[in-house]
Amino acid sequence: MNALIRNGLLTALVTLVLLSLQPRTAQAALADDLQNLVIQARDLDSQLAVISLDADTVCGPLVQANQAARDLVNSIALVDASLAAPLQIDADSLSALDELFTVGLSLADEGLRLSVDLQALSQVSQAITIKDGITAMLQLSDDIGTMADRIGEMADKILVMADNIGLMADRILATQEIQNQNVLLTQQSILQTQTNMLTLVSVVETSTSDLSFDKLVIDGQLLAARMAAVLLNPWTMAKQLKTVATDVHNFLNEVTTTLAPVMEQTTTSTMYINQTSLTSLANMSIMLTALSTAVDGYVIAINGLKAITSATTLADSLKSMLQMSADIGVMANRILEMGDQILAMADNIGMEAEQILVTQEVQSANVATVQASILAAQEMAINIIVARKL
Amino acid sequence: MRIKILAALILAAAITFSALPARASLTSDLQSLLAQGTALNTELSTITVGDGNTCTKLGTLNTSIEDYLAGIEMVYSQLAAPLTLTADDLTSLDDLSNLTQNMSAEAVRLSWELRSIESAAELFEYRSALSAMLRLADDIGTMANRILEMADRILAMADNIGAMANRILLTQQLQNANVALTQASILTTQLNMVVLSDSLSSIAYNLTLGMVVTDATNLADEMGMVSLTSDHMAAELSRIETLTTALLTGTVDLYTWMSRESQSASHVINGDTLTMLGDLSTIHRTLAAALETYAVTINQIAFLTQTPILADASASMLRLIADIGQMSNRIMEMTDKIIVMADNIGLMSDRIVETQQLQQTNIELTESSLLTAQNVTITVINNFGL
Repeated sequence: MNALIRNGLLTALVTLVLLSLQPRTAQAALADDLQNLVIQARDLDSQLAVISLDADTVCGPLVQANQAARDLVNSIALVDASLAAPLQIDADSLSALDELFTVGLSLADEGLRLSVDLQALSQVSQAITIKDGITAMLQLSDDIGTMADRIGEMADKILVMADNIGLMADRILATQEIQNQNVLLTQQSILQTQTNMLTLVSVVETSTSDLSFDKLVIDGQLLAARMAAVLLNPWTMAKQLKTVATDVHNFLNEVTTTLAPVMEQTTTSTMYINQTSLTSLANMSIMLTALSTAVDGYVIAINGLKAITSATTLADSLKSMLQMSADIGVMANRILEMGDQILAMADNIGMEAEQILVTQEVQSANVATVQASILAAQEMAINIIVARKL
Repeated sequence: MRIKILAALILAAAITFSALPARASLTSDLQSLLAQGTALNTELSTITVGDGNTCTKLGTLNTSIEDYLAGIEMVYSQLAAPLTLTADDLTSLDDLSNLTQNMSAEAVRLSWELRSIESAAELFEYRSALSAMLRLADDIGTMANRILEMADRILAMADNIGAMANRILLTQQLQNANVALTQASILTTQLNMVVLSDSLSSIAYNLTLGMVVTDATNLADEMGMVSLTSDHMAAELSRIETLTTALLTGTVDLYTWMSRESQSASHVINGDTLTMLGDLSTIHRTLAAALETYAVTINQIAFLTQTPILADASASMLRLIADIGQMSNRIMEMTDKIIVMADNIGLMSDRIVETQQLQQTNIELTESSLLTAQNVTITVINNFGL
């Protein structure tokens, strides 16, 4: 019987000890969790503080900072998810929350500093670097904002689950004050960062170049028609080809002049592609094949006439052919490069993905045809030069 | 007579010597381009997407390639007829062309590596590498073009085509084949990158967002009509709480869906979306103001209220404050998220700034009301020992 009582007393004592220990353990766990979050947030703050942006190191450190910020948001979410009522709030937990709100503000201020650095850098860097920087900074502000929100929500949840609010009321009210001030300042810093980034965005719509692209296509088609209309004969061949070579060269100049501003824009702005521009780019490459078809015709004609043409006329003609081929090659390359550059700087690749794929394939196939014609013209010229010892 | 012979000799010597430096210079220029190109190729071949920091490495490489392109342009601009080609020059041109083709193959390798990490990384992380890749493809394509153009131009200016004909033909054919391969590789790289790009128009979720706005307006109306009394304050707040929880679930569901989509697709922002997000922040401000009024009322009639009712009411208040705060945060975060990867950020930037300023003003007032409500509730809990 005694043993029974003793056992009963012992069980009761153990239960009492366990019960009295349990809230304290949960309480200690919360304070520890919050303290760990503070350490992680401080680490991120130090990481941001040492980032200094220059033209070569914009995206790398910002991407790493983003990863760290996201890890922190995930850690906060984890602590938040592990909260269970009833909670006992203690001074340590509240101090850790105060510290989290303060570090949150410091992080937002670091973000703001980086956005000002990026603004300064935009004067000297290429649009591609700034484009990456803008996205990285917007992502970072999003992450820091989310972090501040999650800390606030966690604080609210702790309050909802707490069963000793009355006892800690004054301390809680003090924390609320700190939270309110810091969250407002944090939001303001984030908004300023975002506004700074949005003023840096510089975009050019490709539709502004549609008219000049179309003019190039029309002029190129007219040139191709003129080239196709030339009937070479052994006596005037040199003169005819010289005229054509001059026409082609002038057209190359027109192409270069028209494309130069677009190429220039891609170094200072991103591009917003529309479907008409993509169609114009494809049309330009089709126009180039018309020019190279005319060159193919000349190769056949010269091969047919070479036996009855004088060496001087042939030499001059071949020179014009080589000149013309080189110019058409340059033209094809410039147009292809402009397409590539617009794509590299495009903001809206996803929106126009299908049309871009079609255009790139058409351009690539057409340029390959042009290159094949140029090679044929060069081979013909070299063979005749060797055969006739020109 | 002697003077004439001397003059003729000097002229002949001058012509001989002036041709020599030009030839030597082209040969050494081409060899120097080859050495620099080989270094770039080595640099490119050591880059692996899995190592991290891809965008910095590709960025540095892009800068080096652009400097290299300027070097090629320089050699190109100095070409002057007549040129006398040597076998070494043609070998350098062949090597340059092979090198470019190699680099384009490396770019294709990188583009496949990037596609393989797409599922593991956030859109933003691989999107910066993606734009660097498109830039790299562009640069390598330009390199190939410039080298081919240089070869064409050298051919047009050469005065010994006949003597070197067979060798020149081989070079031209090799160049042509390599350029075709390079272009094909560049096209593959670009296609890989374009396939990675996906865009989501915010019109897709305007309907759901519209429903959230309607529900939030209804809740605001409902809360505006509530008059708390000492008898039924707990019941009334519990009813409002049920409505708020439903609205919070709707808001969080939309936010979660949108966040998930943001990991793989960029956004095309529709003006209506921004309007609704701005409107929601105004509605949340109204909700918070209603809570502030409730808290003041509860504080005033607390001494007339039975403890269990007061305890339930204050617990409801804390939950309502947390829920409305969370809703308001999610809407702000949604705006932040959609502008990060917005395709039309430039075109919409003024509207975005307007919306954010409106949201900012509203969130300040919302948080201030929520804080007051929370403080008053805590004071009630404290004063009445709840």
